[in-house]
Amino acid sequence: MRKGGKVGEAKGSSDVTVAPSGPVATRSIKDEDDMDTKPAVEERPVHVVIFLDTPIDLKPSPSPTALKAKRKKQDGAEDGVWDTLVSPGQLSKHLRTKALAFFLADDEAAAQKLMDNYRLVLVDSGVVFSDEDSVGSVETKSKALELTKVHPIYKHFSPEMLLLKSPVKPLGSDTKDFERGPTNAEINKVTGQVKKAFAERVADPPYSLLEMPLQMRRLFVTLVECCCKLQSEDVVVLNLLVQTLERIKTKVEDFSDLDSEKLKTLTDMGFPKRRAAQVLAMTRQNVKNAAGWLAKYPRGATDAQLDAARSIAEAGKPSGAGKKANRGTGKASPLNRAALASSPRIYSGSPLSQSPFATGAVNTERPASARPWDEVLKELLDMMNDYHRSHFVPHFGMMKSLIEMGFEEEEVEDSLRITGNKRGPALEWLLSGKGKYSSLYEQGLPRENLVIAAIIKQPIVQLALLKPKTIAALLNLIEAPMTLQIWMSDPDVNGFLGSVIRVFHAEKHNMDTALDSHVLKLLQGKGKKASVPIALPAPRASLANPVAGPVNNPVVEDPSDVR
Amino acid sequence: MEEIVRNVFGDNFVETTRTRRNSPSPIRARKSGRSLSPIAAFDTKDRSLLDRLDARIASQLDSTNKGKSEKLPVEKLGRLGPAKVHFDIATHVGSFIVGPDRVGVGSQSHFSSLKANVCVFKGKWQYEVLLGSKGVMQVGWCTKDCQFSEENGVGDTIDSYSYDGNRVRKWNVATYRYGEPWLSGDIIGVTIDCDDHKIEFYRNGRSLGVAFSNVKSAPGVAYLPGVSLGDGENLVANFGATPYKYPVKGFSPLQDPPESDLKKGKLLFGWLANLIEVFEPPSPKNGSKVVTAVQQVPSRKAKFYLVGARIFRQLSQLLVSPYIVEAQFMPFLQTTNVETCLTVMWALIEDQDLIKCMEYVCISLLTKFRQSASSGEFPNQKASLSLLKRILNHERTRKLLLKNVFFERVRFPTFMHLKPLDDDALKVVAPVVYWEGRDEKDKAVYETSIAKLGREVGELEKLQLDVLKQLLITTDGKPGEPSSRCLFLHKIRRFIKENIWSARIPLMMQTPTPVMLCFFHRLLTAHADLLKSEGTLDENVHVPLKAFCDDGMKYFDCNRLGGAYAYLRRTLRKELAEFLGPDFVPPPQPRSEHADSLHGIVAVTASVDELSRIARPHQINVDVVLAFEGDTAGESSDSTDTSTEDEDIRNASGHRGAQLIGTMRASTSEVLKEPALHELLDDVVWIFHLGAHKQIAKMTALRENLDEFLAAEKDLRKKISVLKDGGSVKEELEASSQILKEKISDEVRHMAWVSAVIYTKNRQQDLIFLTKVIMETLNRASKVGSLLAFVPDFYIDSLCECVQAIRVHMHPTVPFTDAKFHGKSLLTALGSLIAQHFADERVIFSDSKDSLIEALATFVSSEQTLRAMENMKREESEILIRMLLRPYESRPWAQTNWILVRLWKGDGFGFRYTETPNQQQQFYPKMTGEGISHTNHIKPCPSPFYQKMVAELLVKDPELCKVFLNSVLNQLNWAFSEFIGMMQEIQNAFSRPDRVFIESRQLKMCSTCFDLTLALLRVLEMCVVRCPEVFTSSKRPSADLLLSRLCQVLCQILNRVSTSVGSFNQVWSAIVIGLSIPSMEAVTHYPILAAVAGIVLGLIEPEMKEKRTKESVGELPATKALLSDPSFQMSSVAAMLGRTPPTLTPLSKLSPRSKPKHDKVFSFKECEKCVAQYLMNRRECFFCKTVISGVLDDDGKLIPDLKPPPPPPVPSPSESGAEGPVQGPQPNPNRPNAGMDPVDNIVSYTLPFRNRHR
Repeated sequence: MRKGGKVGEAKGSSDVTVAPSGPVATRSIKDEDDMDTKPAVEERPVHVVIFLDTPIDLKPSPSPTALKAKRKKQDGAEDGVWDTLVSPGQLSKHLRTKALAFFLADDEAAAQKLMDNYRLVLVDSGVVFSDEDSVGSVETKSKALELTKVHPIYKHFSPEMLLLKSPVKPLGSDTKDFERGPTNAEINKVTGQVKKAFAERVADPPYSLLEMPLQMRRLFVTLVECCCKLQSEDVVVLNLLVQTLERIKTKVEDFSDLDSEKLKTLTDMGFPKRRAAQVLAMTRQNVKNAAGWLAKYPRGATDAQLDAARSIAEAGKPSGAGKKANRGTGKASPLNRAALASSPRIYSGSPLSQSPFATGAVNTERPASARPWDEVLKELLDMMNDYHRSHFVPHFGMMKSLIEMGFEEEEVEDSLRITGNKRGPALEWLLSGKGKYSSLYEQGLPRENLVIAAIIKQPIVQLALLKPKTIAALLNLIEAPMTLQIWMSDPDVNGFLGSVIRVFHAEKHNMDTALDSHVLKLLQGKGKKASVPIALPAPRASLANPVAGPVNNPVVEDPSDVR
Repeated sequence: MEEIVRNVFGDNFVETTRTRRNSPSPIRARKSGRSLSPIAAFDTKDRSLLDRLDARIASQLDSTNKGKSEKLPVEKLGRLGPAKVHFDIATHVGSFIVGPDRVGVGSQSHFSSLKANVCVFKGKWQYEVLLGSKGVMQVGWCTKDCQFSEENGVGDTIDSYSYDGNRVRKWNVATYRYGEPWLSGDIIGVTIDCDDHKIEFYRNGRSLGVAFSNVKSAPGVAYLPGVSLGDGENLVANFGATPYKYPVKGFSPLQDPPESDLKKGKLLFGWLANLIEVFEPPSPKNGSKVVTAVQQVPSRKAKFYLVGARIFRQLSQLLVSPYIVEAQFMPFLQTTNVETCLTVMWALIEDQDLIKCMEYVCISLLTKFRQSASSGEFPNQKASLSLLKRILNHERTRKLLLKNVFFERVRFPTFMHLKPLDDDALKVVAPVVYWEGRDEKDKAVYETSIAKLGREVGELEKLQLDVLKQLLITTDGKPGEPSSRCLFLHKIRRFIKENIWSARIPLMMQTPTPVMLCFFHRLLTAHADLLKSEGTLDENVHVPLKAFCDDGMKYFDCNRLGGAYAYLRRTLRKELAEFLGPDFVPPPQPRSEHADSLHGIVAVTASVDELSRIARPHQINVDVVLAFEGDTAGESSDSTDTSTEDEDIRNASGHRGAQLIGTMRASTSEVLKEPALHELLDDVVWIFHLGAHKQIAKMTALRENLDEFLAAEKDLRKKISVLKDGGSVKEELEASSQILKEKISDEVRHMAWVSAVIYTKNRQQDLIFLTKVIMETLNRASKVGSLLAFVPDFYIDSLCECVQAIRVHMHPTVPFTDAKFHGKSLLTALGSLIAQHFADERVIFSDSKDSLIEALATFVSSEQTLRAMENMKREESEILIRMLLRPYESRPWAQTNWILVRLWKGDGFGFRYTETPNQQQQFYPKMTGEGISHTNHIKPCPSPFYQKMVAELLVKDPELCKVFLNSVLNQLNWAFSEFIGMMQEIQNAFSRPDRVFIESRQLKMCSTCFDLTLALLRVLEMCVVRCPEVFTSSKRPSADLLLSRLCQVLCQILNRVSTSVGSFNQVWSAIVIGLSIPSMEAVTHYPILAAVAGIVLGLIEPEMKEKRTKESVGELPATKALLSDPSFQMSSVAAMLGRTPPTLTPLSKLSPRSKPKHDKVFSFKECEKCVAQYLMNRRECFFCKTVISGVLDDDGKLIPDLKPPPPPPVPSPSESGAEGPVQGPQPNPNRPNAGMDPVDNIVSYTLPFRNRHR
């Protein structure tokens, strides 16, 4: 057991013997190492008394009395007491062997076997001897012996030692037995009697992440309204809005990436420019197909639905922000919402001729417009919707196949736009009947919405809402959702956006808005296609990282689909 | 004996033994010859008493088990599984590190799940988890059939239910808001009520409400505990192997408590308590009283041991059970005499059992210590520490803990940590909060609560300090046995080493910085106390250089200022021998790095220990998928969150324990020298650098955050008061204000903690002390010549961080007051230290060099430090400036250039803004970590003093001036060319019809080049404004050349930037219309034009003033040079000024030789091809369009292709003088005017794009 020391170092094993009788004056001690350094006094053998501690064995075992009967022993052995003289240089392991031989075994060889089970404890200080301690080191370990220096009377005190038996450990007690869990068969066996309860329980379906981009956009719209309200007094904000509005306006009318000749051919045929451009892009700039399509699906027959949509918008948005239910404000009538163009390009546009000392900053001094902020914002948001509408290129094949299923051209296009040109989700959207009201889903959420309420309660959100840069970020995100990654890495807004997304994920089950239920009620009331939400295939794992989660972008097209 | 037994066990033990005694025999008399002591024999009565004792004890213990009820059948019980509950590693999904007893788990993959090996289907059950981190974890119940994956964990399937306190949600396929956010160290109770179909969660004993109340039950459905952990998260589950911290009434633990052991334990501990009560440790005092007594053999004490041995024979098995330790032994220790108890245990318990037992004790103590404090009085923490203190009082136990437990199984530094109070507790501590603009009455209350908190924390810190000081005792060292301090310092060394490694090896555990910080302060305080008590406290506490040189402190692989130790020892052998004296024997030559790390307590055992540590990470790599056994429980890397602590509950693994037993008594071969106190100091410096300073810096964020909220709130209040009519806007504003106020209250409370505990006067003093120590150390080392190279690199870093912490991080909370250092201001002293060493040739290690320059940069960018630097001795300042003005060739110059810019910023033209006006309202997204421009956002802080000094030096030393300015111009040329080149590429990308992605790295480089250009321009501006004569004085030989070069560069820049068709303008326009290009938003006209305008003004302005009196054109050298530069365009100037160019250019008037002829063209080796190619197409000068008549090659021969044949070539001497590949065309310095007529037809010619063709 106690094998700490280097066994090999042990010197001659029995050059010191116990003097069984008589004084020790004649002893010659050879243990040179210790002797050299120790003072002369200690060369005298030390008188020690060793007590045997009788071990308990679980089985009835020979007590010392029994041992006595077995062996003829020296005096004291039967009582478990041995007083003897030892040389200070003797190693404790030798003393232990001898003691064991004295008490328990017949000879030292037998005692050797027992050695590891016993240890020698110095009573005075409670110190256990290690194998390589010499008995002389009692000197250092026994306080009583130190006392001899204090008073001569202690000279006669002999150190007492105990020979203790270590408890016998069951073998392998250290190795832990790890057991497997119960098997299904075992479980079935014991749970046979369990009463059924909630056995047919269906868990709530997880929130469909396909709707996330759509809903995020609505969140952003509401937040930007809130943000502008809080900063309504700030000229910078107004200027920012006006500037953005100007920029979007130019973007809406920019069809520079289409073949202008082909576009002209179409407009010359009398089709509205935006619509013509959009169809042209959809047909991969095939003038013939485009013309055919435009002739087949003239827009403008949906006024009735539009009215319905407007009434819903008013009901769904008490703030009144949605009164002009999209399809353009005033001048941009639903009829000419036709538009064209291609994928929104990040970097395009003509260089402005400005003084080089002018900066990219928004003018802070004079208001760029005398109009009230809310009006500008409303126009801006409408303009953005307009832009998305007109510059979205639906997948030609999907358009055709969905229209063949009996849906109307316009709602098919809306559905594809909202779902990002994905057939399955678009079909689901159409089946739910929401297709005709898609535009409503481009509005902001009402302030009563629980998700909005939860987001706005966040202090970090509040802090961000007071900064003009947040408006810029939100507008940018509404305009081009794929910029989310870029904004997320901006230290100024990432805390805010992270918080919005986190709360959205935590509360998304509350997303079902008054608007949704209103639309559904309306749909059912009108007896249109019954709207039973169809379970989505393969819901995303709940573990999608809330912050860095994938952002499905409604306007990102698969390049292969676009042209 | 009888008395003892009666006292310990009670009367009935004695009664029975007495009746059994049949032959009372008198004390045996011994033969006089053998009897050396008075009576060396047992009383027979005692003997038989002892003989019977074992049996009595056994029967008593057996009787406790009687009447034990029969176990319920599984069906009734409702629990199925092995008796011992742990995670079933066969169920794992993802990779885990699992502790040896399989309850502590750490995730090693994105999302890993694990189930336990027990299931329940009836009744009420509970288990607990102790969180080791606070990230995404889903903890709950699941069925055997639940299939998990890397995406789906517990709660993501229909039959699993979980709670995640990170996202504050509950999960059962769908997810809902639930519960409260959790923190590491929290104990989450998880219960299931199968009868009522409910699942409920508890946080630190507080119910979070019923989470699910429709839990399915049916035949075949049984619930297992299940956990899913995000990457790097870890927790320790408790299924009942130890008592629950917060048992919920009515719910059973999954694993039965060891009832019979508990009963046995109750009896045994009772007896032990009695035994200890009657046990009197002998003391010299007692001894002197009984001096007359004849020794009794066996002595009373021997009898105690004999009786005690019988108790411990039973007890020792119980003491290695964590449950018993936690449930019974810990309370027992609280009440008993710890010292005696430990003495008895040492004598009577096997060593490995003792180690195990002490380990459990420490784990239990630490768990208690880490529990979240419910109030500001820290009752748990205090109790834990005071018990630890009592245990450490026992010398041998102290050493045992030091050797085997602390820093091994139990992370000792955690005992030194002060976990911040959570929000609820802070509300109790500081019920009233105050911030500016609130009721002044509240201020006093708030401050009182801070003071109170400070006092409470102070008490706790005092306890921690006491514990620490016990470990630093030196008096217990004996020959062959190291003292506690020695052991402790060795352990700290290893602790540091582990923390260094942990940065490199992902699986090694890094000590969280909050713990580091607390540990650092306690160590420093302990050090100060020890200094005081050991009587060596004086001003000049330092670490002697000698200690670095002789490697007495075992800096394994840390770098020295001069490089690696082995290298230094070789190169500086002579100096070393001189310094250390002849006695010094250099340590054996190159030990392998491995062997180097094998220093330890005892060579043999430590090496085994080390090896296993080193080997561990590899083991993990190999074995990563399946959980493996080992002692790595919870050693998974921790997330870096502020309050995240790593779990400390690490359990024993049998074999390691056994290995170490030897250490305890076999340390005779030990040759550890007693450590000096400065070793502790050295450790402290290191620990500060490793982690502590990071935490100090982190806390600043809290304050800044608060300031931001405060500003917003103030702003809102203003808005509300201004608003005339109410309406929705006002409502919105008020709602917002309310939310902010609540948040501010919370933050102010957090600040209360910070200002009471972290940013305190005392701690500031600690840091100042440390600063002085490091400075003293460095100063002294610096005086010993080349041996400075031996100072470890972290000294420089620590010094910089330390000053930063005092000045910037702590500052407003604890106002910084300059301390004295050797009679000087601390900052000044520090300034001169940095000035002296930032270009010190003895400092070779590049990181240290960077740190020094960085420190200098920091120093010159704040008013306070800059003024402190100006107070340095003049010689020191001059050295500083001279070092800054070293030529920019062949050295990293960007940083020193920034420093010069900083000295200037604020005095330049349009250079007084913290942020340039065009950047103030930028609404474009910027990238994180965008540190492009050091100068951009720093408040201007010009130093006229140093500007003047720069000017003086440049004027005084023409050689320096020439070389320096030339190198600046060269670099400027290069930087601007690079910039324009990249701009062109970007512009090309824009003009392509399809989408082109430009690498963000390239964009960054582009904007970096732009910044470099700006910085170089600003330095030139400083020189032009402060000492125009170096350019314009006709007396200075190099002035003319410099001036013309300068003008040339200026015109080039101006032309490029202001032209309306150039790439710069186009890219910039793209930005204007809102198409943001990441990392390019700083690239605008304003800064560069302002810098150019500044230089032009600096050149011309004085002459403009003179012009009225003197009409001579020749007297206006600068104006002349500028206007006569071939590339000068009036339109560019006009564009700069924002005007239309005047129609009339007075160019010809002012400069009669507007078209100088080129006779010679200086060619450049590296662009010969380009020059040739260019000239093949257009036979005119690149800049001035003068027709070129011929080109010479290097040897002065005419290149025949470039016709027409010129006049006979005359090799210019200046050509041979300037042949360096990097140097521009410079006149031979020795013959300034040789071969060239400054007025006439030689124009030096630099190709702006030369570097691009390399």
